[in-house]
Amino acid sequence: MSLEPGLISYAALASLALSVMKHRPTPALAFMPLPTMARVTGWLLLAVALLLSLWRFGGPQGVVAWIGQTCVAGAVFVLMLSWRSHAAFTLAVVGFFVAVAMAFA
Amino acid sequence: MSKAFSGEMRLRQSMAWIHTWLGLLAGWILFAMFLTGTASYFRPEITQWMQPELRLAPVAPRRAAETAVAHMQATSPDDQQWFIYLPNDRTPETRIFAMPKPDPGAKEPKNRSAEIKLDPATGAALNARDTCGGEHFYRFHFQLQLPHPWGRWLAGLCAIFMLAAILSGVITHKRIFADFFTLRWKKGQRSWLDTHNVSAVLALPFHAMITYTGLIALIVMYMPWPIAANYAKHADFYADAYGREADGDASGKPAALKPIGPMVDAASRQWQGGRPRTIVIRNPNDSAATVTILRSGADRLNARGESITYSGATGAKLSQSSPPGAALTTAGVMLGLHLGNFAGPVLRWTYFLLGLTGTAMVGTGSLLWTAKRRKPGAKPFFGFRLVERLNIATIACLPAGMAAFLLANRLIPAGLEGRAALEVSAMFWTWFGLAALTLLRPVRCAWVEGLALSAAAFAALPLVNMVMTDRGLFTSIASGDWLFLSFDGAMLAIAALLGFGSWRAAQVRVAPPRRQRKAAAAEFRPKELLDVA
Repeated sequence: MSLEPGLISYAALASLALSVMKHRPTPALAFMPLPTMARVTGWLLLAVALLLSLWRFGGPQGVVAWIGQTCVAGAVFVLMLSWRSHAAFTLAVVGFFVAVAMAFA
Repeated sequence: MSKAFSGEMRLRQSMAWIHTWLGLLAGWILFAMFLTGTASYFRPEITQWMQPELRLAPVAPRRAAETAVAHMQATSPDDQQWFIYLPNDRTPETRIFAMPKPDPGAKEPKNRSAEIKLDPATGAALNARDTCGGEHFYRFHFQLQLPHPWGRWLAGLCAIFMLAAILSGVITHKRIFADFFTLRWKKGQRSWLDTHNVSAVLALPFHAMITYTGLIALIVMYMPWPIAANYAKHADFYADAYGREADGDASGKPAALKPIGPMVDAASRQWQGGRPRTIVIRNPNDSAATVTILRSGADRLNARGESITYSGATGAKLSQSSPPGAALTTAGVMLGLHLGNFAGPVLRWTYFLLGLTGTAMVGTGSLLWTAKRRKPGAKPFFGFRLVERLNIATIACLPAGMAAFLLANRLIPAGLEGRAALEVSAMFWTWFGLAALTLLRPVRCAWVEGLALSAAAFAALPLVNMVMTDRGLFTSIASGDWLFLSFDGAMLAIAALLGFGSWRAAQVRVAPPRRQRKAAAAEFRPKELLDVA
């Protein structure tokens, strides 16, 4: 089960959302990076997801898997954000660490 | 207003016009194509579910090839051709189509035999209920149950509309990045626009890819002229492109067919472990016999596999497909991307969810058309009512039809003559029947009840499966039968989704005064819930 790219992409998109003023949750999260920091982190995480995907699925399929899982992660994130915005961001952190654990397991 | 700005406005407006009307015209068919296409990502799994009698353990290709040939040698050794589909990870049985020798007296060439299903481990013929299985959704996805070639033409036309709608939609959408994550609930038209935008933008790579590759998959049919200009006969093009198929006649001199096992091994060795998928044996037991082994595409993006042909009488390699050029590789990869046969479980579920996102995009687009034109208090014009009713007929009723197809599989007796066709009829009678019935109800009730009935039909599937087969939900959990377990889970999830839709439809008030909307919804909830139940 190679879900790591999707989980990392979810965290990446959550981070990118934090760089947009209107999506920054109120009250603020316990840990909330500044918009610029959030944007850089988001793009970096997207790159990490791509590398993980290439590693897990191999060349051509890795690209397909990365795009596909990022799209699904985006849909899930937007649904969560519109429903329970704090949970949406918490899930990103949880998902990130689950992905790291899975990658090293 | 500067000149450039007004020019841009005009472009946006004309694109919005194209987007609205192309999308509306093709929307209902596209919704059905997206939904059945999404289901088709699980084509072999649906077929397995629809033949619950079959329980087979996986078998290596070589063993399956040997038992298949042994079976055919015992039953019809004098055929002109045996077409053998070997089992794989997703289809556990061996499938064979045999073609008898042409009768010199008969005018028409004989058709190939009915499908023969074998247990790959023993070569014994399998008896399972007759069904189209997942093949039905797959065929409907691009043939729309219309006579050839009209279904494919209509599907292609809709795909072109879809592609145009995607391009014009991207140009029209002013705030792609500003509204990238924006989804606001309970705001009427605004909410539909948000849902349409989000489902389209977030999965845009998938939508663009699937529409384009879908169109390309049938390109030879839609654009036959380049081939017509260069080849006198269509078949010559295929011979040039994919290599000439072994179609020689029998010599009349009998010669025993060499064992198939070593040929399968040799092919697999040459493909560096690539699995054989199909074996075509021409003129078996003749000195001119040929054995063509085709490679499985399950491990590569390219859907078109290579092939190797052996002599059936000596076992020597005769020829192999020439390595494909750039154009054929591109075509093969396009088709592969569309079909997703290369995808393992994770990637296949990803494709499935993206397909659902596409379905949501098309559905919300059609809903948006009415949401934009709804005028509280005014009598709706004819076109508005037509679109509204067609939306209900498609979005609320098609899922019920698909569930009916699966329910019919469990409820029609397994031995009944012509049951496969009955299953298909069940889908369309339920779909169109329910759509007709919703006409009798006011629009709001039609939405709520149509969606609720669809939800009920899906929720009934695990129950009916439990009663009618010995592979019910609890048995699957106990025995670790992943396929049946996932199938029941997916049916319940779809039922929950449709039920949620029905519940939401019951809650929404038609254009109430803005401030009172929340209170009104809360006040009416118990009554509406009763209506649903």
